[in-house]
Amino acid sequence: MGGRPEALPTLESIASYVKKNVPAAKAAMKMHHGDPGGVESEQYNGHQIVIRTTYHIEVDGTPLMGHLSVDSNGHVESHALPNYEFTTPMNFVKKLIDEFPQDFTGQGGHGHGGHGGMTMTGMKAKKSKSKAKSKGKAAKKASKSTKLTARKRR
Amino acid sequence: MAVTRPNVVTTANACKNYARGVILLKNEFPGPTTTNFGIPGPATKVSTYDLFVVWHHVAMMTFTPPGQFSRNSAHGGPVFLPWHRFMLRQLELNLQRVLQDNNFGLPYWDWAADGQLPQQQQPTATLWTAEFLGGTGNPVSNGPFTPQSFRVKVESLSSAMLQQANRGLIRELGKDIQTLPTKANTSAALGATPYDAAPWTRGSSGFRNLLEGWPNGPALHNRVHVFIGGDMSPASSPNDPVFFLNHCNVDRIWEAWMQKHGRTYVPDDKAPATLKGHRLHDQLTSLISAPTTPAAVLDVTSQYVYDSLSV
Repeated sequence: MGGRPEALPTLESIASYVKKNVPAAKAAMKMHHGDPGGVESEQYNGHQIVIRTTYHIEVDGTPLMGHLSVDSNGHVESHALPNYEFTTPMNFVKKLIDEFPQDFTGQGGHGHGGHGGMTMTGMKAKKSKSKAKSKGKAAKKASKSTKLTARKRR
Repeated sequence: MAVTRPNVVTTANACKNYARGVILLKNEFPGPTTTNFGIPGPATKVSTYDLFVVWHHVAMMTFTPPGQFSRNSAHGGPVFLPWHRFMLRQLELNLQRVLQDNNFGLPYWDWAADGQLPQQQQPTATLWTAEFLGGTGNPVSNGPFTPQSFRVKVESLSSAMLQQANRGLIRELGKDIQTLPTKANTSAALGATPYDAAPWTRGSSGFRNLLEGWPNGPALHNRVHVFIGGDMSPASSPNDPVFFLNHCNVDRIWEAWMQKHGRTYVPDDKAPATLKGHRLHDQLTSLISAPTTPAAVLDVTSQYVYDSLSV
């Protein structure tokens, strides 16, 4: 881009660049196991403040994996819903259940597509009455098991 | 010669040409398969269009620096605007190729114009009619992107990992948030300086973070994603072709800002390694083309201009 003239891409050039970039892409997309949480770091009056936050979240008894960060105001953000910000982790989990109902069917770990292999999804199911019921149950469970551990380092 | 990027609603055939090009890119397969990217299941060829979905996802999963999940190589930091400019230009070049039209310019959606409409009219504005992008639905059932002609083939899970899919496009206009940003919002962003500021995050002051939409959010860019909902919500948001019309308008606002405040960018190359990926001459995450840098995309007037910088 910029001032240099650009050649139109071709199918061959696209395939070639993908081949070159795929190792980095696969590494980036690798599942990061472990409890979701975040690190907030800031310089303040010559001091380095680091706040590490870890949530242990379960839905229907299954741990929720994935990326979640917590800002200095305690707001929660996640790449699962990258344009949203949530005032509490509970609101975040409720929204996840609403947006990804197929991930909370009780078959396999949330977001893994099932431990036994990939789940091919058809149309996203509209939320049913029974789904709404399970949402209430799931939220209750998350409430009980959600814990916050914050550690400040010098 | 620079192409002109038109207003998608007010320029004749801009939307029709865009939709035709998108369908063509959805139906060509350069060779990569889902297996190449570690997406589970049988090896399925990934279309050129869907490579953009994967690319966006990869950029989002490339954390800068590693070990935190708030700032990545395309969002939540200074590189938000250069990276999406790079992505849009690659889409524009591919659309020129499949449309066999070197004068094709990617259209933008002036969402703040729709934000001036009464709330109840916003989900039924011109863009959402069958003659343009079609409307709300699960799946979208009118316009150019019905399940018969357009299928979502890769999608994000709740863990933000990708999986294969085979379904129609989903939109939930006005469900989570009922109004779009307004002209007062875009005017306020135009006046914001500097471009970005420490701590270079979603908590920064400055133009970039305001336009991305974190302060008092969801605002501006983020608000548009949330207003549309459905496939515009997860990390695979380029699944909805309106993604690029939203970002083209974001890019137009950035161009208007640079006309007003100069083609400046921070942080420079002296910034610490924790900002690697966001500094002036750092490489932007690429997938389908040669990489570029924020410095190289600050002045693109030899490649494209907008028909209006009135935001």
